[in-house]
Amino acid sequence: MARNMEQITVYPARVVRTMEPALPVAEAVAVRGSQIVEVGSLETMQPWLAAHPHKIDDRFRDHVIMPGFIDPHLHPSMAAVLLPMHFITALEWHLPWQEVPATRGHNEFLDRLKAIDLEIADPEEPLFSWGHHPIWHGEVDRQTLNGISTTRPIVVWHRGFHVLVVNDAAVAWMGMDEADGERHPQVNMAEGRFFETGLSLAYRYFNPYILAPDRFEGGLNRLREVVHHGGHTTIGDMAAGMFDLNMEWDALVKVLERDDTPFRVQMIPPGFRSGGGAVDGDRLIERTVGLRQRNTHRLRFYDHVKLFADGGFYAGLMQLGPPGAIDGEAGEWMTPPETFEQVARVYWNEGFKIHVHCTGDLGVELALDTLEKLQWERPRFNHRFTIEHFGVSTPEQVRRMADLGALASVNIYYVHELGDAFWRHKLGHERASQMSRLGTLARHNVTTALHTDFTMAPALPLNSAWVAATRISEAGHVMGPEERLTLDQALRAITIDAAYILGLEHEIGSIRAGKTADFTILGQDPYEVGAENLREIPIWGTVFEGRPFPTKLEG
Amino acid sequence: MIPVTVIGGYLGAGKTTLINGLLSAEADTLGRRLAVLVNDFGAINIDAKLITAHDGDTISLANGCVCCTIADALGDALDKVLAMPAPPDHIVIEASGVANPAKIAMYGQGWPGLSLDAIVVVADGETVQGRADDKFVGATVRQQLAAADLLIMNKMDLLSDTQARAAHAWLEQQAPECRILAARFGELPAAVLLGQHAAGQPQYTDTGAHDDYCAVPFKTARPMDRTRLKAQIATWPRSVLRAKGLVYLHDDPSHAYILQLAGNRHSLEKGPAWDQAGPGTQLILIGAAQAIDPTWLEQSLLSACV
Repeated sequence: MARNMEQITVYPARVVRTMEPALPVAEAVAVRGSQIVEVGSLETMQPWLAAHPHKIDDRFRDHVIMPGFIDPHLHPSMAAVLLPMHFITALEWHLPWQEVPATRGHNEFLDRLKAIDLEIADPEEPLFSWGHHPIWHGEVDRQTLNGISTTRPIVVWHRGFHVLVVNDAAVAWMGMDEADGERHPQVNMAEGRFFETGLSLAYRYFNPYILAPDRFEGGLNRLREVVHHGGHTTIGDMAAGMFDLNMEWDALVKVLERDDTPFRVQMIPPGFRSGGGAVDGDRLIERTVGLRQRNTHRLRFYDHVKLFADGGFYAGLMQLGPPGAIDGEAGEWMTPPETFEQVARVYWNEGFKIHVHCTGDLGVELALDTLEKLQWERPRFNHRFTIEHFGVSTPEQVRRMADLGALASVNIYYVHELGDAFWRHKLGHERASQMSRLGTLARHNVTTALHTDFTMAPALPLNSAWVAATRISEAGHVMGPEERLTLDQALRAITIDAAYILGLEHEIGSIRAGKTADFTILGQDPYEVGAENLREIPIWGTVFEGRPFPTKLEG
Repeated sequence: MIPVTVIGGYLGAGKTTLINGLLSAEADTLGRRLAVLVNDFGAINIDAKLITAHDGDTISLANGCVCCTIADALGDALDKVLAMPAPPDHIVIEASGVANPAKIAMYGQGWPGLSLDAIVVVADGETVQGRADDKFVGATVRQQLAAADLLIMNKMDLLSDTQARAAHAWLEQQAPECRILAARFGELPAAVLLGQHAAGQPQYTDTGAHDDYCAVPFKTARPMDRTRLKAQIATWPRSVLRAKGLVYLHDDPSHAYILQLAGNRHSLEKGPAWDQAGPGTQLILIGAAQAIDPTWLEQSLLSACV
């Protein structure tokens, strides 16, 4: 067979961290084509090497080989909108094309904005900035932005996406009638501020620009670099088609289904799009199954589906059980509970693996009540019902998850970025410090992945693992030390356990004979540097399906 | 501007039945062409009698996740309706069962070409109290009731008199300022649900088959004092459900002002210059037949005249 004549490549390394408890540490890995043939030492793999043509590739001699990192929940399309914007953020962001420094203080924010204005050659080009947060940067308004430029349209977008501010030139560029903004209860034209529902009015004028195919593809190209530089070899698009499936699919195939793209994307479609109404099960299944006909090598739909319980965490729209929020604000349901149950039943009975967006403990409660009912009606094993995000939860819910066989895919960055803010303004210290309660999940043996929900958190798995193992907030507080993961648990959550969440654990996520040769190549050994230094570990690049892909910084 | 009426209320309250009633062949929409955006079903249903069907348009409203709203399906749908060669006279949006109708109503308060008529919230008289205590949706249901300009206590056919009184009393507690109307199968006259015709001149005087509601016309050539008029409106009883018409104001005698009232919500906005017929206030008030007192209302309005 031609396939077997392919040469074996052996990569000796400083250490191979396989994430396989049966053989956790090795010296080298042997790869043929896109497959691992053996992991061990040059001596132990001699029978393979004696029987087949091979070469020794020494390039990782001083590096650490880990299984390719996996983020099972991020949003390429959202990233494609955001990444063309100029980041001015309170926390530093490492982007492949730019190190974004932490910008704190009102004047510092405006200085940075002015510097960007001066850097852009085309005087007409709109300047979209993202990352503004009043806690760090003070308030900016239309007059402030007029002080930056009276000719260039400037749009300052809030970190959490729920406020934006424009200058005079932007109002003119948008072509909107100011009278419309003046009568809108959630637009303040004098201050150039659009918030909450008022954002829709702004998007009406921006969308033709920010969703234009060229700009969107440019954004996806950046997403491609971000994913590579983070060390990922697999990501999950956990709401494929959030804007417009056909438009996004065409762009995704064009930008990502290329020979030089070093990762695959599991596409998880929303199972149901609207706020309620009649549920036509046959039609839902037909449509969702039909998506698999689109599959390409790198972009694939499987038997996974995404459902939504309560509202967004950054938007503060999670559904909280007692005692509710300090500010008294009520959350929202993205799907009416009755409809949620009907739709979940449709997919459950067809054997789908269901992922449920749950941000508050009442959202988790709805998902678990539903799962329990479905288990009673039609028991399933190995069903992989997964709670996604898991912002606020109770310990009893974790125990119930274990009882019901549910899994967790957790946004741990909430603890880092929102821990202090939610402590002071939303939840109080007890609940804020126990957001994303990973330790309890681990104590109950609930298989758990870490995700970033990028662009909600930086798409850097080692950064996620760092937060998971330290729970250090942006202000430097350790939030809920009992909810930390061990270093090994945190690394499993970005490799083999993340693969399990995507149902791909038999192919990826660890380094063993027979699995796909997906590796992340590190400059240091995470087990040597320890949890507190995880996010500083340099990433050389990746090996995807047997082919090395150094990052641009290395190449 | 095209008026927008938002129909809210929890799943199963009877929103769709109510809207189907408006769209049915028998419905008297006072000659208006309606566009109905039904976000529960992901479809825009344009009144088939009046406007050629627009199949294939779909909307899906994402509740709750700010980032998703960049793809603003409702805004797109409204723009499509506005761009039609013959735009409708009135737009009805059926909010999703878990939406806060006050949020949807914002589209009537700033979207180009649209104005807010009213938020009508439908409650299932039989189940609403239980829902309001539900651990998952209690807060959502109470928020919806609180957002109403007109609150419809529906499914009265399923309630005994005692139950109906209890439900009414409970709803009054939830929305103390709100006008509450009893209905079965969501049957209410279009003049109550949607108000008078947008064109300005009152035309509706006959409540037809709906004996429960009556129209009270008011006319005077005397100018009115703006402040006194506002003060009088504030004293009107809850039995006044709707009012619409032109007002002759003392402080701007050359322009007609358009008064619109829907439950608690009212506006008095500057309209065109008076035509050759000259200035004069002309209003139609619509109210609950048993409760409304035409003489009292006439006195109230006259006392606002200069």
